[in-house]
Amino acid sequence: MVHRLALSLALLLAALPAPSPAAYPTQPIELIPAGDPGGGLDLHARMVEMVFQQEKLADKPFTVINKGAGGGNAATAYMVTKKGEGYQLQINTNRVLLNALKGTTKHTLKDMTPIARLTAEYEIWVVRADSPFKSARDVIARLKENPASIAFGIGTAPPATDHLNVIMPAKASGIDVTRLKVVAFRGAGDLATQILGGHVAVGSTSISELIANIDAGKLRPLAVSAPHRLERMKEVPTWKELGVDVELAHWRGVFGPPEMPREAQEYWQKKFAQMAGTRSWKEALAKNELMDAFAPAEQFQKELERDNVQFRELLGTLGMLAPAP
Amino acid sequence: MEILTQLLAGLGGAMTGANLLACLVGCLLGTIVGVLPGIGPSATVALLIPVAYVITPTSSLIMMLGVYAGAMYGGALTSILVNIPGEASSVMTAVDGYQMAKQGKGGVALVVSQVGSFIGGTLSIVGLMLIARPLADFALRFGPAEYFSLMAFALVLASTLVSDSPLRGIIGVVVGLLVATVGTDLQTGVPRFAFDIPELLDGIEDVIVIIGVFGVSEVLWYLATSRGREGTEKMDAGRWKPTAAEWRQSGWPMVRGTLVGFFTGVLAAGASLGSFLAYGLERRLSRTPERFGKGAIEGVASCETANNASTGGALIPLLTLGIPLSGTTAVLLSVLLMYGLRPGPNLMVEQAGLMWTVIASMYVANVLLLILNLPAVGLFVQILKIPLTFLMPIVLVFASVGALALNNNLFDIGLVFAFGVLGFGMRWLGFPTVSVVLGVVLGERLEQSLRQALMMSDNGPLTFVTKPISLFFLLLTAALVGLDLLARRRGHQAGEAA
Repeated sequence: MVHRLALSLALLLAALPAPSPAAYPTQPIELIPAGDPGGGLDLHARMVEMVFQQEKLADKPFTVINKGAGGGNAATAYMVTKKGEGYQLQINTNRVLLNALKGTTKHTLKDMTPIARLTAEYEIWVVRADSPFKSARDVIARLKENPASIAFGIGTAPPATDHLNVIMPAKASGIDVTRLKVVAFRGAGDLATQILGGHVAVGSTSISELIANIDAGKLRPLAVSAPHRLERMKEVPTWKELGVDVELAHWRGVFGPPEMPREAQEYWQKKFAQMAGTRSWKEALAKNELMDAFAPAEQFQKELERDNVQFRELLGTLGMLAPAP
Repeated sequence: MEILTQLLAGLGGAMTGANLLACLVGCLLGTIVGVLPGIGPSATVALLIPVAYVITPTSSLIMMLGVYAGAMYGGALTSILVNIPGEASSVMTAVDGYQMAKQGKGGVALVVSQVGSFIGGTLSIVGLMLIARPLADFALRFGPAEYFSLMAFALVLASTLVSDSPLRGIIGVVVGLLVATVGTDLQTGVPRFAFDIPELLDGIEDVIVIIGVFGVSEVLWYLATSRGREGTEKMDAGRWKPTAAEWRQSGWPMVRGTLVGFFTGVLAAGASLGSFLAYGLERRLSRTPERFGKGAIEGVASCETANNASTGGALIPLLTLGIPLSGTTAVLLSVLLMYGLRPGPNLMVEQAGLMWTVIASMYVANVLLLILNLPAVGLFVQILKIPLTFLMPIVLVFASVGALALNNNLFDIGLVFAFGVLGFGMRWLGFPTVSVVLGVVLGERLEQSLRQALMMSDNGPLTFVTKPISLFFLLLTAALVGLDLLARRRGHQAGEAA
């Protein structure tokens, strides 16, 4: 009797998780960093792939496909061709907003399905250790006398986070931002050598690119764009502490194709929330000097819309906005 | 002495079974990647990242550096055999290597390129060990003004010399410079000459122009000139053992190529810049410069040595400053970070054991590559026995696959063919096509450095002459032009007298 009961129970259990024929996902997922191998977006894709594997979160494997062309526009353009499908995820950054504003792509926020924001990197102003600038206040004071007196170096073509990190504090300090001198270099590595070599007076870029040289005492950060002081650089003041009302994060997030099926959206929202809570993810972030900035889809969407309004205004001031079609 | 003991300890680490295997796998992969145009070492190293989760940090770094070194060896093969350089750094190899292949000396060119690669690769690691720190500090002295003058020098040295007519050479370079302006402008973020075509927003990749102007235009040239000779014509595999005289001719170019390649490797855009400079230098020093471009063995020797020597140089900013200046070293940096190693001013001290094992493995990789590739020369030159009517379509397929492999985009194939037609047209009109490639490869940095320097300068264009390094290269450029003009005038006078 007991045996029979056990047997029927076992049978019942075996039958219980009977997969409905369309249990999502049924095929591998394309994970598309909107950047080339070696860059930050690529790194995020590899980290996601690794953590899903290590924490056994993956029901189906990822295939990482880099689509960095067109300043990341290629990734979004590809996603649009997959409208209504559920097997593509792109990893992108605030370029999805900036590129649409400056008019290099016609695809806007409406053409993507935000799944989750994963990380944020904060931006710094940084000078060489022997620079006369001891504080960001010194730099601002000089700019107030003459906005064109200092050449800022950034690591990518404007408009971009590096660039906004010059414009926003200057604007908040009442400086004529149209007269600022911002010189762009091809990549963070290029910029780093220019600051270390003393060619660029003040660099504006994200922290991870320069942290090794900051730790070694060769570079001095002046201000950080985070809402509060960072554990990693306790001595560096935030803009708010300096009396400048600026907060700026270089985030990376996951997006699905437009009109992604509800089921797929919910699946990935849950999976990425799980991933963000794992130890492997936290360890991977720490190793790469990235900040956990997980935000679920709804919050992510709201902040994207808020950022879009702010960026539109800034680019308008700079005359970088694409003419309305 | 201390360095020697550390190196020996490192060699001990590199010669363990697992590490040796990792090195071998890396070298083989790298050679294949080098042969296939379009797939670069940076993409391959990125593909290997998942492998890095399962093997030790040391082994995976060794494998990745094997790929890096192997790709530089492999690049010579297609340049010489089918006139398709896989990347900008082997363009000059194709210029003389392919001519040698046509003359039945393809095997010789391959052997010299492999030996040159070995010498350049190995000696640059010695340099990396001995003078990494001072060289890194020297590289930091290159700001935009210095880069501009160096690029201008390289362009003048390499371009006016590949052509008998300086004017035609300059026109070729200008066409290249124009192509280099396509894409989003770095300073303003505004697209230039992109015509709302999304694929053009990032500009046209060097490799696209190279494959088109070299590979495809060669096929078109064959089509246009082979009437009546179809079916029978083929190149000659010939001998592959260089003669004593050929070795002697290659000796000094290899030494100079190593020096030039190593020092320029430390700078951004190092590998291609180094090979252009090395080639230009050889032609300038040669007593018979007219042989260059028509199968001069010195050209192949200097260029292949220089691009391999740049690998050692390129690792210096990464290891001593924690700064990657090329795609491949950027991927290597992310791998180091993954293992919790932070390259930077202190890496060589804090992680001495690992670093010396890795450096030692670079020696091992170069030895392995030489052992692998030299016997393979006999096999590869068999390609030349294929009649041209069959070989040329294969070249076309190869060029298309290479273009597709870049971004998985059919648009790139179209571009490659467009540049093939452009290359053919220029050749038909007697313009040196390699000048176009020079303009494309060096153009972007030349333009951006100029604008960066002017934006940052307090006294306008004077910045180029007030900075000593910049002034040095400008004077050198002026001297080159002056010497050319003088030689030309003498030539004219001699011509009139006779």
